Amino acid sequence: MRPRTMQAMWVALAVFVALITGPGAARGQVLVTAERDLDFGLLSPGAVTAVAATDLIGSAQLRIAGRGTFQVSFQLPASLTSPNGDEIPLVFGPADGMLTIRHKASSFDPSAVQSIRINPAEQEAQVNLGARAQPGPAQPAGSYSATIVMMVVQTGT
Amino acid sequence: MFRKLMLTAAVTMLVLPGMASAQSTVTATATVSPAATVGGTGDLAFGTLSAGTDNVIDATSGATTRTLDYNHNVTISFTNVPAALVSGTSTPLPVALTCASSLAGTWSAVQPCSTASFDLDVGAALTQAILGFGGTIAAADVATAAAGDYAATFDITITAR
Repeated sequence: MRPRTMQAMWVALAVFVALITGPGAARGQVLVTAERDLDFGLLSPGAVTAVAATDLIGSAQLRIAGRGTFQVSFQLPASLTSPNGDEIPLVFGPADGMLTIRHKASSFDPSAVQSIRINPAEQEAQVNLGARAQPGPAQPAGSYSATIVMMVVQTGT
Repeated sequence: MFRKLMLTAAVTMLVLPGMASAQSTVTATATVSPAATVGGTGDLAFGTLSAGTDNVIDATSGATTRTLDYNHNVTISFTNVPAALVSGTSTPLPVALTCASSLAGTWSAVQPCSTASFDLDVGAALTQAILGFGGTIAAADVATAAAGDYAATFDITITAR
């Protein structure tokens, strides 16, 4: 093979690699955005209050933007805590998670790791979380809060 | 050799595209409302009145009480406190009602109910206070009163603070 032909082949290969690796990097991106907090509102002492994942006002809402398969998991708090250290137990049930991809919603257990797939045409998924707060009969008045962490790891394209 | 290495690197990039991860947080929030519950029964009963000596019931005697359970700091006051007990069409019988509060077994100073104001602080959790009631009906007023049963009511007001 002539040197010029060889050089042309190498250039062609470089262009090919550049074209392929560009979209490859795009496939490796995932963006997670928190859109709404989980809000129980006003609780009365002794009155268990649940916020459903389908609650359009009270449920937490996060958005995953990306394409491919992902593992979704949560760090769920066991309780809400006041600045004074008082606690309200929190329970996350097996249907307190809701995944929506292109208007198709399905419930899931937020305490278990979820495997989801976002097809190229869909590009994003919405995650909603509900829970049950259990203030005791002697629950001190005041504001309580806790942090929920959602982790998303891409496992495939 | 260099070109072979480049080619190997390019193929590796094709076979192992970059995997990504991300995380985000949301906050769970709630506000526990102030709550207070008044319990207990029983009236402040002076019984048969004496016209010879004043008829006095000590508000801290425990003769007539209400319990108050609360989860926040409150102020207790009393409204519609009567200055006299009434009995049908008879002339009202003057009375001076007194109130006190007790936390952890310690009574406050006795105050006229009409102007009493007790600031009660909540403890680490639900706290219980006792409200005590008493009063005085003067012997001189009893001496001129018509025979009969006299009564009146007043209200306990709990204000969150």
